Amino acid sequence: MIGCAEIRIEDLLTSRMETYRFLARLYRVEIDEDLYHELELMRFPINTGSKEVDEGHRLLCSYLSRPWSGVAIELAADYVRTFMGHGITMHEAAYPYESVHTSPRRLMMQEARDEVLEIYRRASLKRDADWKDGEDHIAIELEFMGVVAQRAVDALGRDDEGAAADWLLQSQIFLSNHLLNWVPMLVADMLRFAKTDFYMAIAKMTIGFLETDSEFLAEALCQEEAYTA
Amino acid sequence: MDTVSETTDALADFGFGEGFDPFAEEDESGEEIEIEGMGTFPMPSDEQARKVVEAAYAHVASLSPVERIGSMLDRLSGRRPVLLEVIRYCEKPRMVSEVESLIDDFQASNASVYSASSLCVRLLDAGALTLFEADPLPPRIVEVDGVEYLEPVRASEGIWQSTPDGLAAVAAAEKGGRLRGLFDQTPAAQEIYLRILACCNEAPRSMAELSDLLRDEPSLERLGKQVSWFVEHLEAADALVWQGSWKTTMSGSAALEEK
Repeated sequence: MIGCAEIRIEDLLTSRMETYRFLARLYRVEIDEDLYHELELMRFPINTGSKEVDEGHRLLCSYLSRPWSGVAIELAADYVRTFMGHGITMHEAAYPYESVHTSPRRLMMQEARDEVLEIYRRASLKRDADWKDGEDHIAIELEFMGVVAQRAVDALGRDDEGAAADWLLQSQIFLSNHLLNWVPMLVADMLRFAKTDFYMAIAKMTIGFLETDSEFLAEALCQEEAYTA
Repeated sequence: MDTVSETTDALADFGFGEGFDPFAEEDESGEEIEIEGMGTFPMPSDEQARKVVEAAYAHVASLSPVERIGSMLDRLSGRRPVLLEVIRYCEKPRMVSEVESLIDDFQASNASVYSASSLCVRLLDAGALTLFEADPLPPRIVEVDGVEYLEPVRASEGIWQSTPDGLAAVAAAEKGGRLRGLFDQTPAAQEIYLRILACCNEAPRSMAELSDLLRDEPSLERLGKQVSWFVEHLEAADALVWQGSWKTTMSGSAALEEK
């Protein structure tokens, strides 16, 4: 049997699915007014077990005390400054593409992009026609994790624990071989280039959550293996 | 909107290409980049890039505060009327939402790609407005089902106020220097300009009404221009403003009185 004694496993899996999709949205495009107001109404746990996530929550909550009218331009500018930069040397921003961080010349659309594209195809996923960027953009990789997490939830809903475990295994492989392979570097760059506590908070929340999820997956799959054996 | 979507519910094994080494040492020389089929190109260093940016803004740095505001108003000439109106409005302290509402109303009949907050930031950067904001408030701690959470606490709204330099830029605009320059530039058109100003001073007018006004004006044909050409020039000279219809501004009215 997968999981944890005190919290329902379905709730845990749903929560991680929502977190992946939430983070994906934060990276996909600039924050708009609707999302900002949603964030203002959210509660953020104080003690998650991850120092990085806790620090991110504290920074984000403090930043959200400022009204949207005072931060709209600042956030849009910081998104561009943080993720796009203004130069051409590929060392002037936190480029949100796996290829940039894993290719010798820091170029986009390299092997990493081909690999994740192949993984998406094998999972029967295709890119939305409106998305004009590379498939190894962090927003897409996080969203892929969200989709796979949803499949695990659905499988559990059908009492198909074997399929759920398979999906969790796919999550673990992708997390280990892709996201955790380059997001630490991305986060370090975000903390270097971002000027607002908002994007610094997102950086800390992202790495903290990925590390926590990696530990969760290892434990859940270990229990599943022991149960199956 | 999701950026990936499912096509089937199939599941296949995962695989990774041989030779994929994310830890391979990176070439960090940054001196040149090779583009396939086009050769190699030198890459500017951060220092070179910084110098280029500084050179591009050198002329702005040499301007006085009022000149800098004037330069910004010239660059955003299409938004000049609303920018001047905001500076006037903020002579007294105004809440951010009040200013945004003023801009939105002003732009309702004169659509722009610039949002209200974007225009305010332009005025702030140019030194025409100051923004007073409350310090961020610490989040409050709440307990739900034994778990502690942080909740954002919204601070009070920011306040915009015009700077003395901003008000000086408005005063300069209201002296009618641009309108006098327009009259001097095309003396033959002065009579037409004044007729338009007088007409729009009586009541707001549509372009069709102004065209009727000048239908039999002989100098129109002689100058080879449409009525819209004169209206655009008067608008650029701060003498007319479009707010659903054309209205004569204070500096336009002052010019009428002088004549």
